[in-house]
Amino acid sequence: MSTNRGKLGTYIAVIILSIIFIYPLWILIIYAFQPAYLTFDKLYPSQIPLAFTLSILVQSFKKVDLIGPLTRSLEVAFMVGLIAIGLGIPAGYGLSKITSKLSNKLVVFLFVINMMPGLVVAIPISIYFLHANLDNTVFGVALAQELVVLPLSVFITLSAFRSLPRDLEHQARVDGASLSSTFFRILIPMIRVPIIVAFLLAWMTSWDEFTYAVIIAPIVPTDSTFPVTLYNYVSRNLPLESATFALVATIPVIILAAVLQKYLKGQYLSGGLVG
Amino acid sequence: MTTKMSYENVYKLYGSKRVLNKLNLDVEEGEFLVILGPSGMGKSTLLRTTVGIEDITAGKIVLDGEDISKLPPNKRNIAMVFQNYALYPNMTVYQNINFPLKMAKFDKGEAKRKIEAIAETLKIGDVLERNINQLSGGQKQRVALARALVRDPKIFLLDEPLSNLDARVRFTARAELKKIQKELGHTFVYVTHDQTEAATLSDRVAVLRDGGIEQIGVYDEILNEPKSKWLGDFVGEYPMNFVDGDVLNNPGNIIGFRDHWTSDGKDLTGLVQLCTQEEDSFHVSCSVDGDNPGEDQDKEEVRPIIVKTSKRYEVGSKITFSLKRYNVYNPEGSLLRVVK
Repeated sequence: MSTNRGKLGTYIAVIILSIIFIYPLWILIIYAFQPAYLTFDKLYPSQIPLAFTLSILVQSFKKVDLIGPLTRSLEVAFMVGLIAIGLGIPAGYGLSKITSKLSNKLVVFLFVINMMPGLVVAIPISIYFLHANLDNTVFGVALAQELVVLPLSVFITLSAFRSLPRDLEHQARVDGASLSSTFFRILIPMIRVPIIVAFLLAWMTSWDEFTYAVIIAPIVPTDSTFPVTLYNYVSRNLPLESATFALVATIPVIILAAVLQKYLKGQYLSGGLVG
Repeated sequence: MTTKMSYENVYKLYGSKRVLNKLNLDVEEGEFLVILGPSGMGKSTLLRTTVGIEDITAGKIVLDGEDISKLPPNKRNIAMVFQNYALYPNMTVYQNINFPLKMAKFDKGEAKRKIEAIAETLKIGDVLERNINQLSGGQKQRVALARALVRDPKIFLLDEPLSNLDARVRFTARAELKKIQKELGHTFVYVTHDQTEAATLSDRVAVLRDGGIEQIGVYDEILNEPKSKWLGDFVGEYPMNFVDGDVLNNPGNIIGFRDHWTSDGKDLTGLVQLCTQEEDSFHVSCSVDGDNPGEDQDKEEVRPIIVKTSKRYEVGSKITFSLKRYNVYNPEGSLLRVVK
């Protein structure tokens, strides 16, 4: 009886949470796929779709270049994700080898940059990037955004390496594996889930990162990332286009999460050791 | 017999703590050598330095005439079974056993034949495609053993591989381990703190104390003629009895004897403190006349003498017995002579 009630409570909680998370998306859908007289022109638009049109979508795509910023954002996001794990994994491995007292201090130190307002950091960086010809480049934006994501990915990989039993690494060495085979064939596959999580977090952070993007790559509108472009439309009072683009912006995130979610299952590490 | 591996004056220091302290040991070709010792005496460290995951501070480890003490683990060609088995959780049983072969760049077909042969021997042929977390404790132990046996390393190290099994499985696993070692003729170095394992598995036993070898030999030899009081205390189901003082015409020395070395007679008399029945015999705890612990009395509790008898004694009554054989130790605790 009580377990049934508990289950019911869980379902209600899940439904409420889903509504909270999905409702903003729902508004986007209503605005993007209905004619303006049903939505934007009304004071209280209906929450249930009454008509369906693709014309807003088509017009938005015709009126402005969407593909440019989208491609740019994708490039930046993947680059940020790859750099985050490319630097995060070795850093985490190295930190896991020293005493946790010292490595914890170092990780806290990494997070210092995140404690400062982004603008304070972004402006001096942009000046330096100008000199280094990194402004308005995918690589430049990605590098700047690493400031935000790298501490977290180091933290994630460090925790992952720490959770691995040392004896597995030793066993691999005894079994004849060199240092690099041990690392790539034994350790990395075992922490693939944390690595994917780190990549996903970095990717998504970059996808809607605004401060660094607008300061490092602001000049040509079609060259800036998606959030910056979106901001341009909002500030130019084009709500319909904004709604359409916002909807488009969520699609890659959903696809990526769906593709990677099968790797995100737990319990993959249990059972290798006894006692 | 030829020497397979030898440790020459091996030291291992953690800070100023000497975990291995001038250790000298020869391992013979094809033998089952058990390293026995209480915990904290450096048993695991000995294996870990042998296999190369820890470096020795000084000395030499020579395997087949080659000094291996500076080589990385993957160049030493030594197999080891860890106490927790350390199976790779992201691989199947087959992939686990295949890993050392893959690292040694074996031909795939040959690797398959080898794996199937070893799986047959260890009776894990039907679980090869399973994941590690679907195995029982006994199966995990076999997989770990199979992974060690599948390639042909020069020597096998086993770090208490049976300690995580329940009693019944451990019993059969022990018998199988011995059988496999004899059949394949490999050299095994087996670390344990378990007396029974040492007694049943070993060709020879080396007892480790404070990072050095206290005594090496056949188990019965160490059991009956321990070179020191400490060994008499440690080896055996029951600790050896020690009687101080002037008994049996050994003034100033210490008499050591096992509980079953007693016979009818009147050489020693004692006061019965406790009598417990064990199947068809009795264990009598008593204090023995002439037992004169002297200044030791303040330091530690005086341990009662335990003797095996065929009849029951009342608590507080007198018991007399003679000894069929005994060992004489000097006050420092080292063996002076054996009296039979």
